Amino acid sequence: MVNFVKGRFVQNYRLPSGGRINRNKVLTFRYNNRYYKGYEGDTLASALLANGVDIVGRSFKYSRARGIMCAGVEEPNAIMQVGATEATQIPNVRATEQSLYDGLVCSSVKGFPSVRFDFMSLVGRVAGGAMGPGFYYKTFMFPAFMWETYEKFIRKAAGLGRSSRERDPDTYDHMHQHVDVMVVGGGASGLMAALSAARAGARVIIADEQSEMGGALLHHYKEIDNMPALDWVQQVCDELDANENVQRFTRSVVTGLHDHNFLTINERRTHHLGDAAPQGMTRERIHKVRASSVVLATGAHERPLVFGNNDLPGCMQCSAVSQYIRRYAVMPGTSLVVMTANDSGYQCAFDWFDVGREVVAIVDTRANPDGDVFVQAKERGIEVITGSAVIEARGGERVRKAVVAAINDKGTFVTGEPTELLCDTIASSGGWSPAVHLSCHTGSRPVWNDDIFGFVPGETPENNIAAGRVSGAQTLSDCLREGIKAGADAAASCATLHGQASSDSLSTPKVVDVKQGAAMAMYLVPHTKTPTRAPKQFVDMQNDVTAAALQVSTREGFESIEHVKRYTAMGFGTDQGKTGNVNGMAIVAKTLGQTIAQTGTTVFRPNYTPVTFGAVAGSNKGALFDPKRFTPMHKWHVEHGAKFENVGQWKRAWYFPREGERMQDTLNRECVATRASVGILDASTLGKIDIQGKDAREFLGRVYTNAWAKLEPGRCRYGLMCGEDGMVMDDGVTSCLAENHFLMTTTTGGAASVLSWLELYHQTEWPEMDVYFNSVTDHWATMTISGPNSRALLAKVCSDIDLDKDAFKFMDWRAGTVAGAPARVYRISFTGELSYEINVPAHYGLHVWEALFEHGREFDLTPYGTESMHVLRAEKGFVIVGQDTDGSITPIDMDHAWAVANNKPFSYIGKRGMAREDCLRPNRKQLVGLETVDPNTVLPEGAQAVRNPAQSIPMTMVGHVTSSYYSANVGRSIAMAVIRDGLNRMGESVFFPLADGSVVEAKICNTNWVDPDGARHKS
Amino acid sequence: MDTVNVSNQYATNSVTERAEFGDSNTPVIASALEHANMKSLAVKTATGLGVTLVELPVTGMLVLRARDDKPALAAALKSSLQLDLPNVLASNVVVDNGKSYCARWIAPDEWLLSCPLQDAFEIEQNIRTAAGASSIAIVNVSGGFTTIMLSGNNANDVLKKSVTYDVHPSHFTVGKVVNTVFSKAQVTMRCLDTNHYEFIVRRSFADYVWLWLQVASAEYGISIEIE
Amino acid sequence: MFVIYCPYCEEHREEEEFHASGQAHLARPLDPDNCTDKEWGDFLYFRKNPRGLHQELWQHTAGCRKFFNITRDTVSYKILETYKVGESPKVNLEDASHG
Repeated sequence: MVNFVKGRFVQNYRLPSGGRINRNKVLTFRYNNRYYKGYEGDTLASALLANGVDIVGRSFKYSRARGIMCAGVEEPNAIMQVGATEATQIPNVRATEQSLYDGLVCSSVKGFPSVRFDFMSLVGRVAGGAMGPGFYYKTFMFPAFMWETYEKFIRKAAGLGRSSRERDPDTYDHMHQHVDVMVVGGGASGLMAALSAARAGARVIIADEQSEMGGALLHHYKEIDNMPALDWVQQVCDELDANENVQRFTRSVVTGLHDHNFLTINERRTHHLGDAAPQGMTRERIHKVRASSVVLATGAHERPLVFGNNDLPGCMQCSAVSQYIRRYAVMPGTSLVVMTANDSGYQCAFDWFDVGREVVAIVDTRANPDGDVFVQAKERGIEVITGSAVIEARGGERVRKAVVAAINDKGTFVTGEPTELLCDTIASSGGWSPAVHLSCHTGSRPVWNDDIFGFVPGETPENNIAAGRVSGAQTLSDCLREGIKAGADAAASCATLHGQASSDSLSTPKVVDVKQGAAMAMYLVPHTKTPTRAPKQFVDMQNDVTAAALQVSTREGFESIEHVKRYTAMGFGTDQGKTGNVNGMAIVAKTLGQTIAQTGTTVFRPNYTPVTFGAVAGSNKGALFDPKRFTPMHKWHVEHGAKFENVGQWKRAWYFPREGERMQDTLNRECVATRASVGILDASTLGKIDIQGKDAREFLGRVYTNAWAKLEPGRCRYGLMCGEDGMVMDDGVTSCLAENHFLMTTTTGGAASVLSWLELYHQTEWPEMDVYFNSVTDHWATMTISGPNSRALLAKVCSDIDLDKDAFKFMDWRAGTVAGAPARVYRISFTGELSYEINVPAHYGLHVWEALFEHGREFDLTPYGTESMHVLRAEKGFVIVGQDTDGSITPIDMDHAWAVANNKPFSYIGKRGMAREDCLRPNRKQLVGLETVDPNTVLPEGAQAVRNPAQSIPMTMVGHVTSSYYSANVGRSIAMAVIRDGLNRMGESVFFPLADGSVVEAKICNTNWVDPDGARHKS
Repeated sequence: MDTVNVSNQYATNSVTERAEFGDSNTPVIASALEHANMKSLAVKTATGLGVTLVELPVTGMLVLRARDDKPALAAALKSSLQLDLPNVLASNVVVDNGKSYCARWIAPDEWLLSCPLQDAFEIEQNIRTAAGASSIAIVNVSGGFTTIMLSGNNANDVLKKSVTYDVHPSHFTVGKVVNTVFSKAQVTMRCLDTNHYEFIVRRSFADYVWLWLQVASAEYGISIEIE
Repeated sequence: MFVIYCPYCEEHREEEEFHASGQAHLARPLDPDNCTDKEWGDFLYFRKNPRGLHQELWQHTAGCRKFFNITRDTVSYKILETYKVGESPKVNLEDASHG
């Protein structure tokens, strides 16, 4: 195939005129490091064929040369690595789907060192006989540990495309759509359905995968309503575009049809424009469509026939040949033999002949074809050989001959002597497989239809309407008629239509149909030899699955089509068996002596064609991957060098390092400064729930373990919340604002779930209770000052609250003004120091925080973050729910029996759970303190405890470390742990074998290291 | 100041906003996106592009709750602000002397009332007093939200990129209020007019929502304005 | 990806606005203290798992925050009805036929 003549690149296989291409726009592209030319309107496949490129890859297993077989999404061979830069690499692009653009760079994905000469093909030819189905499974199973080594070589030899190693420079997004009618497919049926629905007043989306609407009309020169088909298509599109309730998407594949008529459409917005998207445009968009009604007008894929060496470059679908000639003005070869089992296969011979090229013969497997096409062939003087088939293609790496022989009327064996016809292209048509994929996505199975020898969509849960070729229609008139009805029915089924209905009724456009002859059921063409001895007859090109392999599989006992598929890998490739599956099922059925209907079919799952990860991610990446939540004082933390940690979706200041400090230095400084003078913590993230109503107090008593009956306005209490199983679920301080008014706090992570918990019980269990819950987490900015100087500091910014220790006692709260802002101040402590939690409306938060720092200079006010907060509370043995508890700890286990009020009249949530036998047994894990024998060793959190370090493995684990820190205030490491029977084993040693082989010894002790009498926080 | 109201049953969960501040301790009010310095962004962007975004100044917000005593709440709202309690997914607006009050339906027993920040405390007091001993609840949540306005010829397109709700004008009609998912967050969304929408966003999510709107609007051109 | 009719907001909304909360109509025993451990364990842990119609509790978390019930076919995912807490379902779990 010469494409380089006298220093100029020429497209030897381009017809001088015709095609829906723009010859004024010449495009240059690079394939396998050589430059070629094409035109705007070409696909990469049509441009390659125009340049006479016939080998585009090597097959997966046998490394056989492969050529372009189809013209659309069902192409199995022309798989390309596309991308001009490292960042824009895309693996496994179908050349038939890729619009050509100037500067396109691509290469075939298989073929080491090159597609033209591939070392592996030698292996394939020699070992090919031994590389039957299950080859990898059987050969590389033993020894098992070698599989990963084998896999590396197999992958390299098999060759799939590669991912980019740099960040994608393009952006993607999603759009949500709501419509009355979703029409999938923009061919004759789809266009009629969309128009019909639109005229009925429906909101419509119609989507087609091609660059323009028209479907099969793009390469059929029929007339509709007395005008060329494509003029008619333009007219319909114009009317649709003028309707503001219609959206028309081209280059858009409907990739999935999910529950309740939810569809995903992958719109490729810029693939035809260049390597990367133009500035300001997203490269792809996924439309998430909710439709009341769906019309599937997805058409059908032509099945080539299965015969010997049917994978040779030059073997193609009949309709693909027509498309290349008509739509792209490209000749896929010079001399053609057509084999067909139906009338539609004749068209490509006519297209070939009508541009003046040689048609060697049409080989019709039917003994007496009687359709109009038979007459039209005779009129052109094309030889038609009936009752015969091409049983084998011959050639090295391109078709050179077709071996033809007469066959019996059932097409099961050869009856005559084979003869050879010289040719370089063999186009075959075994029939049409409706594109039923979307109809399967919600679980329904397609149904075999003997009229068309294909599967049609089954009943779907949402009663999707199939119209046109996909439902088995065979003439253009039927397709148009079905489309009109489908659109009208779809619109009619919508409860309320949103648009203006038109009074113009839609009548079926006028089409001249030809007389059709009956088709013949043909899948595997017989050979003089059996499938295992004949030249390979390929069913699935991409995975090198042959007819012989399918027969072997069934002989080996894989009789379910699901098993056959997985054992042979039929239908597994990126083409998902679009051209091969039905042929494969027919072969399996015949081997089992069943009908195809009895054998059944595998079903399809989303996505219909591959979707890039970028499109799936959309804008949900980088800073927008997940919401980041910020407190009102965040800006200050950033400006003062805080490091942050994630607590749920919140960014919380973790610690505030100064110049030259390592993290531990910072923590030591923060903790010491707080106990020595005063520290401040941003606690705004904690959940806060406002609870009002006459039954608020009673409700609290039911959801908490403690008593609330006597808590007066102005007082606070620590509350412990359990699940019905008696396990600790959440905790926090709840304060009484007024007789019927409380403010509950929760952990940061528990805020939303606790609110839901309260609502669940109120709405479903106790709706008679007069109580309301409202989240006020975001309303309040919360800052806690702790330390011996906290009262003095507060006095500097607050003059209207009596701060005297007896006027404002521990666990009181007061309303007042802080730094000019209205505030509530709670005298609660999570550090064990004298402590005030200042709450102001969030819009004053930063102002008050800054005012505290201005006045706090004289006290060396030290900001601290969550890490120091953890250490300071651990020094007092205060529990953090979710850190020291894990859903398997009861209040008793936690040594919090003091928080459980057992004389409450109502059986509060947790009471019955805690009384279960398993919760009362001895030897439960109990929360205790630990001091390592070496005071500088800090136990890792999660370390497992054993009583006897010399015990042999498996060792008996008796608990684990829940919290562990170095404490500068205590002068040694401290830890909290849950240890079996811990509260009865004070002073005993437990041992922690670590991953590095060392063992740490620690003694069980009380958790209250600092100020055990609690004098400081009560001062 | 917190005060306990007439029947000693409830503390008003709001605090007073003083009209003037005499000392150097004047508290500065910061909206959720204060740190984004909208003023300088507004100067940098052109006007009249496909999308216009505005963060409103801090607005008074009151949550109103009532179940069996809904008539009492409705009457109290009517008498204090001449505002009707709206029905399912609806809103009612009253403008009085340049001050705007909007009540939005949130749930069968919940409404969200917006008002000038400095009036929230007094309005809460008035409604409570008017409702007497009825079982209602009022919560001042002014600090908890920010309000972002989206407008421009491509506002509806930006909506489609952001919310799962059906925002076609025939469905998301003028005056309708919807609580829905906004990307991975949640908003209270109101349609003021064609291509003119209001988002009430929880303060801690404001950055995420604003950044999302910027990214979604980029292809149409963004004008940033301040009110 | 369901579309669900919220009986309080009185319109259809996308599934993302909701949160599924398991089996519906789980009544908390009125006298927990006198339940045996087995009875309490059944209430805590045992749930129906039908291949077919199921009554489920859902919450409209991003919307009105109310709980309600759905009768749904766990095979076809068809939603037959939604009804408020406190209302009775119209679909009889035993009667309705399905594929």
